Amino acid sequence: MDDDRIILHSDCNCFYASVEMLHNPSLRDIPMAVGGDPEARHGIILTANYIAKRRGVKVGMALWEARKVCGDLTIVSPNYDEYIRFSRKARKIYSDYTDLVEPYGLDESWIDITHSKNMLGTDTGMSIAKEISNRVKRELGITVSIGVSWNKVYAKFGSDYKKPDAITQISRENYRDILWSAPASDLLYVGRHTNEKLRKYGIITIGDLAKADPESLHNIFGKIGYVLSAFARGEDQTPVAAVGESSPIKSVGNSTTTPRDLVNDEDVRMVIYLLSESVAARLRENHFIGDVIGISVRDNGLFSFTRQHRVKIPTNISEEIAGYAWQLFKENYDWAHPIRSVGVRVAGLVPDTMPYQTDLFRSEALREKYLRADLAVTDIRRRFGYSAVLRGLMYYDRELSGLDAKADDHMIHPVAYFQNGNKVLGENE
Amino acid sequence: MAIRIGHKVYVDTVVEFSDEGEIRPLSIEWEDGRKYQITRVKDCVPGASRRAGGAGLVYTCIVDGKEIHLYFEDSPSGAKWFLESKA
Repeated sequence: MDDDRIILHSDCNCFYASVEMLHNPSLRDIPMAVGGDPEARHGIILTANYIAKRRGVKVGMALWEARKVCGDLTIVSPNYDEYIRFSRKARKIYSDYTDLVEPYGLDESWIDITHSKNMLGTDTGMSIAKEISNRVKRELGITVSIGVSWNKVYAKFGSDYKKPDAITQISRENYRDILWSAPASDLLYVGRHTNEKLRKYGIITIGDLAKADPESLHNIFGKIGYVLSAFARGEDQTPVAAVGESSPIKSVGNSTTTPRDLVNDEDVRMVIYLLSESVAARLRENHFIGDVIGISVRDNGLFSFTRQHRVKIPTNISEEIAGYAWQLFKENYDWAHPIRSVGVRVAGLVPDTMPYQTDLFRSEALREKYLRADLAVTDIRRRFGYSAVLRGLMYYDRELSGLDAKADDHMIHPVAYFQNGNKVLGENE
Repeated sequence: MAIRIGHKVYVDTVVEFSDEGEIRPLSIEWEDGRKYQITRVKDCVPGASRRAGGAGLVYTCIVDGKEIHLYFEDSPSGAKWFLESKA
C-alpha cells in the first residue's frame, strides 16, 4: 500500500562479542563469549560469538555451564563503556537518515524512514538498509542484521530472521510465506509462558495466531490477547519514537545479586530493607509516589518469579515499601531453595504533590514521621557517607548489608511498548 | 613512544586544535623513535580497522609523499591515536 510506513529494525549481531572481537583480532576465530564476573557472582553469559553458539553456548548460561558444553571457551569480562560508545556511534549513523530512531536496548533500534525517503533519493527501505549496513561495517567494524517492513513488529522479526550481516524484507507480498509459517515464539511479546499457553490451544505458528479469533484470544489472555492478534496480523501501529524523546518514568526499581546465597527470612528481610531504602530515595529524588509494590526473586537454581500488589495509599516511604515487599515475599516463597537475587520495585507512579485519600485506620502523623526519618537519613548519608547511619537490622550480617550500599542495577523503567514506543530497557543515563 | 598490540600500533601524536574545534594531527612518532611530519590531511571520516582492531575517526594523511591512515580512537578509557602495522 502506498501509505504504508517504511520501518527498519537494526540489530547489532552478537553486539558485545563483536566489539570485543574487533578490538582483539585473536578472539575472532575461537569460541568466545562475554560474561559477567564470576567473583561478583554475576556469572552468566551475556553474548557469545557464532563459533561458541554453534558449540552450544547460550545467552543466560552460567559460566561453568558454558565451559561444560564448550571446554575451550574464552570468556571476556564486559566493557560497558565501550559498548555504549559503539551503540552511540551506530545510532548516530541511523540518525543521518531520519529523526525517528528508537533504541531498544544498546544493540537494537527501530528506524522510521517513511517521511525521509524522498529526501534520501530512494524510495525503497531495502536500499537504505543496505547503505546503513555498509556504513556500520565500514565505520564501526561490526555487522548488523536489518529487518524492513511496514510495522515495528514485523521489522523486528525481519532482523531476527537471517543473521549475521543480512537484510530481510517482510513485505505485503511475502509476509504470509515467511512470517506466518514461523513459530509463534518468534513474535515480539510472545515469551515462554505465553507460548506454552498458545500451544495448549493449538496455536503453533504466527499464522495460527493471526487467524485465531481476537475475541477468544482476549478471553484467554485478557487485554494482551488483542495486542498479540494485531501483532501477528501486521496491524501494529505503534510509532517509532523520535530521537531524544524520553519516555515518562513508569516504575522505579532496584535489584541485586547478593554476595552469598540468602538462606533464611532474616537475610531476605535485610536485603529488602536495603533495596527499599534506595528505591524510596530515588522516588523522592524524582518527586514520585507509587501505589504498586512489586518484588522479584530468583533462587540459586535460576527459578524466578515476580509478584506485585496494589496498596491503598501511594507511598515513597522506605518503611512502607519494605513492609509491603516483605509481606509479598512471605506470602509467595516457601524456601524450596536458597535465594540468589532479590528486587524491589514501585510502579503506578504519580507526582508526589497528587492528593490522595487518607485511610481512617492509619495515622497520617505516623506516616509523616517515617517520611521525615527517611529524609533525615538521606541527608546524613549525603553528608557523611552511606554507612554513617544504618538500620539495626543491618548489623545482623554486615558483609551482606555492606556490600550492597552501591546497588548494581538501579533502574528507572520507562513506560512499555503500548503506551509510548518500545523502551522496555531503562537506561539510567 | 609507540605501543604495539598485534597489528595495532599506538603512536605519540602532536595535534593542533583550531579555534573552531577542528583537530589536525601534525606529526607522529613511530616505534623506532623516528618522528614523521604530516604534510597534509586529505580526509577525515568515521572508520574502523579490522586488521588493527579499533574504530573511531580515520585521517587520511600524507607522510613522506605517501598516503597513510591514522586512526583516532575516542575510547572512554582514553582517546588514543593508532596506525595499522603491515608487519
